[in-house]
Amino acid sequence: MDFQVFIFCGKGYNLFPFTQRKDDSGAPKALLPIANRHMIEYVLDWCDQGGFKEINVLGEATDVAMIKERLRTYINVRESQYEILLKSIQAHHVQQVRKPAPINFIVTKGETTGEVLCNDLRDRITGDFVVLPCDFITDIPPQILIDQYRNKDSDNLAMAVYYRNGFQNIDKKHLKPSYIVYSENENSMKQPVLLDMYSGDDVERSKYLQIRTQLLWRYPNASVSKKLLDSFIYVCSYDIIKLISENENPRFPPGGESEDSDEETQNATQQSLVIKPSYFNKKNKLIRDSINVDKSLDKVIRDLARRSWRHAKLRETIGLFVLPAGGAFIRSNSLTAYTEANRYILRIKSSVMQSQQITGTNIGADSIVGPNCIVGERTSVKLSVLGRDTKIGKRCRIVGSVVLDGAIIDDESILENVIVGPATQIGKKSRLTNSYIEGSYIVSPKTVLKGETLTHIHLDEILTSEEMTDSTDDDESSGYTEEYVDDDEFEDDGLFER
Amino acid sequence: MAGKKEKDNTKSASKKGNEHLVGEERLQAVVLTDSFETRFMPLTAVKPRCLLPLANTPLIEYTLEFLAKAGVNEVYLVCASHADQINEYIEKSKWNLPWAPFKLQTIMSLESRSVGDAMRDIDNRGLITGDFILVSGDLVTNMQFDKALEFHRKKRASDKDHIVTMCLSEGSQFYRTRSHDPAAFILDKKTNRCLYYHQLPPASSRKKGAIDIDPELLEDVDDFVLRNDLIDCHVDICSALVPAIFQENFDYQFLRSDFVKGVLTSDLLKKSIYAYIMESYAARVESWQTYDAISQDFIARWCYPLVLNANFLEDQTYSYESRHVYKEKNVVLAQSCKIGKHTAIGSGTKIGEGTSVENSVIGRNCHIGDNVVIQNSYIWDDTTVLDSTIIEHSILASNVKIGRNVSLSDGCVIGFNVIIGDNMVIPQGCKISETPVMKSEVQFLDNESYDEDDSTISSDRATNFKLEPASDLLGETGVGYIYESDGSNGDEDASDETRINNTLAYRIDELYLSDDSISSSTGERKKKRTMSTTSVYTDMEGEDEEDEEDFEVEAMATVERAMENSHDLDTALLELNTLRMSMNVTYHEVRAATVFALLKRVYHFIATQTLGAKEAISKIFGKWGLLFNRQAFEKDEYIDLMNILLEKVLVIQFEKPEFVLFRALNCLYDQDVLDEEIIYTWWAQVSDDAKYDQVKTLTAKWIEWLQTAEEESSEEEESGEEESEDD
Repeated sequence: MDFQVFIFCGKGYNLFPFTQRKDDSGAPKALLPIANRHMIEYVLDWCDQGGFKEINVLGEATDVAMIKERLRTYINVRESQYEILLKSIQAHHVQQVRKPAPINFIVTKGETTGEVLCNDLRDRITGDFVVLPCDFITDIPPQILIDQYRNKDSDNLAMAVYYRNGFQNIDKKHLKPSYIVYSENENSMKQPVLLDMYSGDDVERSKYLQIRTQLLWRYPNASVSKKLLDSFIYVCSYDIIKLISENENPRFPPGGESEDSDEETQNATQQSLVIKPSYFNKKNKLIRDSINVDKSLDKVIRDLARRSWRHAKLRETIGLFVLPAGGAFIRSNSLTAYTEANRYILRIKSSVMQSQQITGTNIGADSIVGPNCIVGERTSVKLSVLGRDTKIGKRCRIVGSVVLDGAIIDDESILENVIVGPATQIGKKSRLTNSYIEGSYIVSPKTVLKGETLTHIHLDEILTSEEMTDSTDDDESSGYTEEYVDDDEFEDDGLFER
Repeated sequence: MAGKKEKDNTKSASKKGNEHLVGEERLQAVVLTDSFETRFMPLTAVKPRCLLPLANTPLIEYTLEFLAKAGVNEVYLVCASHADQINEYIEKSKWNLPWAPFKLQTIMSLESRSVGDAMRDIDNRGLITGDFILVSGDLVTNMQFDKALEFHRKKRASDKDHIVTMCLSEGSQFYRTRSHDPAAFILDKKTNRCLYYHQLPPASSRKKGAIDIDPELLEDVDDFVLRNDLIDCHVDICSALVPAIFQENFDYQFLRSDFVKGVLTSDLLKKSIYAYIMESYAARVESWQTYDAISQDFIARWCYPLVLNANFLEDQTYSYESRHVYKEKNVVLAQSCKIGKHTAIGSGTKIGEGTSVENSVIGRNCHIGDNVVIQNSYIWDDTTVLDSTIIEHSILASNVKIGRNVSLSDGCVIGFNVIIGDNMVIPQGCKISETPVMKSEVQFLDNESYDEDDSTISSDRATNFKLEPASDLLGETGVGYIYESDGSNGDEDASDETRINNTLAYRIDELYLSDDSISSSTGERKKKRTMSTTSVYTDMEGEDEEDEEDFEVEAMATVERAMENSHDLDTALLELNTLRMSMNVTYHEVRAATVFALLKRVYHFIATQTLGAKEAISKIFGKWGLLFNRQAFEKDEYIDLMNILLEKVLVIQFEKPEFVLFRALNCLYDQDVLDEEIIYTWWAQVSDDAKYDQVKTLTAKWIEWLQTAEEESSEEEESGEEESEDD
């Protein structure tokens, strides 16, 4: 499989306060542990199943450095696994063992995912490629996506992957509905295509969901779903890169639409120079339209989807693939989803392993305890993750919680559905429910909290942190762009607003 | 309210079964014989639509045949125009015989002017006792009604607020029986509950827009479908509540756009409407195109078992031959005439030597001469066509006499008893009636001609030149008057409509789906959502939209007045300022209104050809551009001003928006309202939306020129200044 994989590692502001980095306290989102493994390792494992050509991890300079550093052991293990395997089997079976794809770390400068794709990656991409977020866990093998992509119609530019949330505990509030407009193309040979997307906020703001009549004439049997969620997985053809790069300067798109025919001929000459990556597909005559890439990738994809029906001549489409309901898919893009992701792994673990009793304490089979962990007497741990070097006192009860590395929880505390940041101290006899506690926070004894988020307050951040708590709910779609004030949000559509 | 009680009773299972039985015993049907439209003028001036023959059978027969098959017990025929004719026809028909499958009753609802009126009339008469079928008298379908009824009852059991099931047939977006009133149905994907209904402009129309769906309607729905491929043949299964709802909402006129939409969007009513989607053939004869399309479909047996050789009129004797040729007994065909495919010929008709007939229907007792060519045409009873005439895509009503060597082209409709002389050429889309049909005589008006002015104007016109017979068109011996279809006066939509009306053959009109159409439509939307360059303003609108609307109107009026009477700047500014404060709006709105007013003035000058574009802009912006000096203070505000300008230029739809924008900016620049730096910053962050691309072309050049000019000048003067420029 000659796909390149690009994993976008964002800041993860939706996971505030565990990824906050104002004072470099938290780790980037990709390194946040899920069941004591870095989040991104699940993604890398998934990629290894698919056997892609190369895996690229993208992020800002500091993030990338840190990710690279922390993943060193993972990568070493991965390679030595391969070597051991190679040694242990006979020579004539060697061809069955696949060398793990190289993992590259790429520093990106673009402010939005779209820009990153256009500027930082354009020259790196040589063929079809896959864009992944760094925060998903799934038991759906990548082959399913790849097969689906291979079956695509030849006029398909990319395939956007959507999923339906199968986890009931994830807060409805965090799963902001967006209106995904797509056509199943029931009455034709074609695969389902994505047509448009409106975020729930925009619809709320403008009081109307606007469906263009033009779309209805093109696709008379379109469906709209509020339950589909963007997985931020895009399997893209090389055509997309050609489209984007042809419009070098997004601000001043060359030529108007009226000159379509002209451009086509131009394009045809250009195309003859380009080597097409897929041989059995019909070539697409790419008509150059101005595409604003200065926004997050999902919006670029949306614009491409709109482009497919907006014009007098139909353009290439964007495929849509909804992950099969049988498989589990979860993106840790909100705190509840993050907890749920942890529990998902825990449940897998408990179904595989038998319950082990540690004397004096009661740790359920559905829990994971990290190395160097000290758990006091008569403490019960259920459906929870304890990170490395954590210290839990006596007679504590920890249920459905995630305790990150180095946290200290004193005697007789009760934690239910709590995420405890790294190196946090929780005093005696505290009762915490449904709360989030930032790393290195010290919770005084006998604190009773319900549904609170405890964070450090930095003087210079009082304002910004307020804003941030607001904005955390805002846009979960990209996982990468949250930190930038996205002007596009308001302009969004461009078609209707002016 | 009685209906409501009844519904509450249905809660208990035992009673439900009981009612079910009662409902099944007496299934009622209401047939609206009048469509309350004028699309079949001038023919409907003489005969009601439902008695016009389709494939030599009056339209009403198809509907009644369907109802008989559906197992209806009571049928109420609601008659409005030409009620006497309908009554007479029914009395003589087989439906009035003692062994007819249902009891048929005609209801004289002569005052009704719309579907709404008719429904209210029915409510007043208190005829409806339970669920009933509401159909129009021009339906052709072979649908299996029992399945629809079953669907209706099932939905009724699960949702007690269910009042209407619309039976919709699946087609495609461009299906030819769908040419009129295309509409999008928004349905719940799981239950087929209708969430929203929206009429779309026809695909060929230049008006493009969007459907606005209130998210509140979608609140508890996760997946829904937008269907633009359904053929709505107006077969509705209604509960007894429906007439009452019409009664309560006395402004409801149309079944779909008023009633369905009203029920769906009403907060108070809380009733639901479901759609039953079927694959059978169903269509309404509602326009010339659908008449043509349905005739062809019917002849081609799409509607089986509803076919011509089923002979559902007592005296019909059609037999079916291969290639879809139907002939009655006593047809006299000359040896050398050719009867092509898809043709039906009534008894007593004689067809002469060398004549060819294809895709056509010829009624009874017609005389077709020698060497006549008839293609895709419909000739009703007792018509005479003399030798060598060519008839294409036309309808010839009963008792028409066509001379020798006449040519009728696409879309001609020749009314009853018209006589056309020899050697005449009738142009495309020409409609001729025996007696002049005037607008004022038209009993039932289309929705378009509802407003008084319109109808009086056209009736004036009618009196002006319709009173004399069209002898130049019909020849010396001709008898007939030209009928002008309504809506031919002016505006684009109407002319679109008439263009469609005037052709008989349905063509897939070239889809007008180009890119600029989007921008023009957005221009129209503008009024509702004024400038949202930044979120701040959008929010403000949300709060007091009404005020802002008022302000826009007021402020524009103020500026216009100032320009009209050439007030001085200060007076205008003072007035604007007072307005601004009293209405509590921002300077942004003031700027927007001013820009709009100025541009409108410019437009006015150009449109009336008082001044050239350039002069007009220089004049208006030269003088009144200075207003902006007192309406914008900060850099941001100037940038906002330019954005407004960019927007409004598009909104007003100048012929050359790029030129107007460039001149206006240039003018403001010359006046020192805008300085280079602001222009550059604006340009750097100007919206790169595709629809502005064209508008920005000239401005782009101008700014480029400005920049180079500046660089050059600064280079000449001092090289030291370059540093500051780098910013």
